Amino acid sequence: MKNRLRELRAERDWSQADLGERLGVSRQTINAIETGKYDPSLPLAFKLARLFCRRIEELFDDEPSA
Amino acid sequence: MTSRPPDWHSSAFWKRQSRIHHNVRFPTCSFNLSFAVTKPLNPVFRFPGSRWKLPLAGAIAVAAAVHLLNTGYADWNAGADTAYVLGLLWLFFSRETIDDERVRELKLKSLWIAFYVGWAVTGVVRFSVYLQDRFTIPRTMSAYDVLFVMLLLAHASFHILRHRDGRIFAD
Repeated sequence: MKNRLRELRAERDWSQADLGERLGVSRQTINAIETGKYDPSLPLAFKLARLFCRRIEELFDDEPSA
Repeated sequence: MTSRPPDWHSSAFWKRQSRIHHNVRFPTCSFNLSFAVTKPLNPVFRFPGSRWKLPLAGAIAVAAAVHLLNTGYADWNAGADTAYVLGLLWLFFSRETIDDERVRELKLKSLWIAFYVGWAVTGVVRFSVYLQDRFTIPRTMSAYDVLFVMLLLAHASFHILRHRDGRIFAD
């Protein structure tokens, strides 16, 4: 699943570790989500959406990547 | 590394930033959510830390190999393997420093990999031993030995998968 996590994180000048610290997950988990290797659970997706003040569908796109 | 103000994770900081950078939309509801998913660690499971797990699992594997070479399989099999299995079990199921949902998924995945690969590897060993000794008393690996091999594979695959998760590709 494609997502805009890297872009939103870069806007705020946060590192992966910063974002992981805010969400209570590890840097590796953030990297796995950004690279599309892992789709987060619904609770974690909601936390991400709240943290970035966006709706979940603005963060994640379920269209298959080209 | 740039120093951050002490309140950088609070919404007050981001509101202040949004006043400074008018053209940039900074979040105004940003807050630290780590309290929601970070669980307090039971002291029994706090040690060893994540960084010590792989070296400790390696040390158990080396100790088991040295023990096996010194005593032979029959003596090694007489209860000693249970201690190694318990050590590996404790290491594998103790919590990581940050025990999040991805860690739990990777542990399940590595157990799944270890089960199939371990079953195949020990199956080949058992069959080759059977072919050698089929006219004498058959020797076979105990369930603990199979579990030992599977746990070693589970440790290895978990750390490989975790390492792959952490790699940042230039794109």
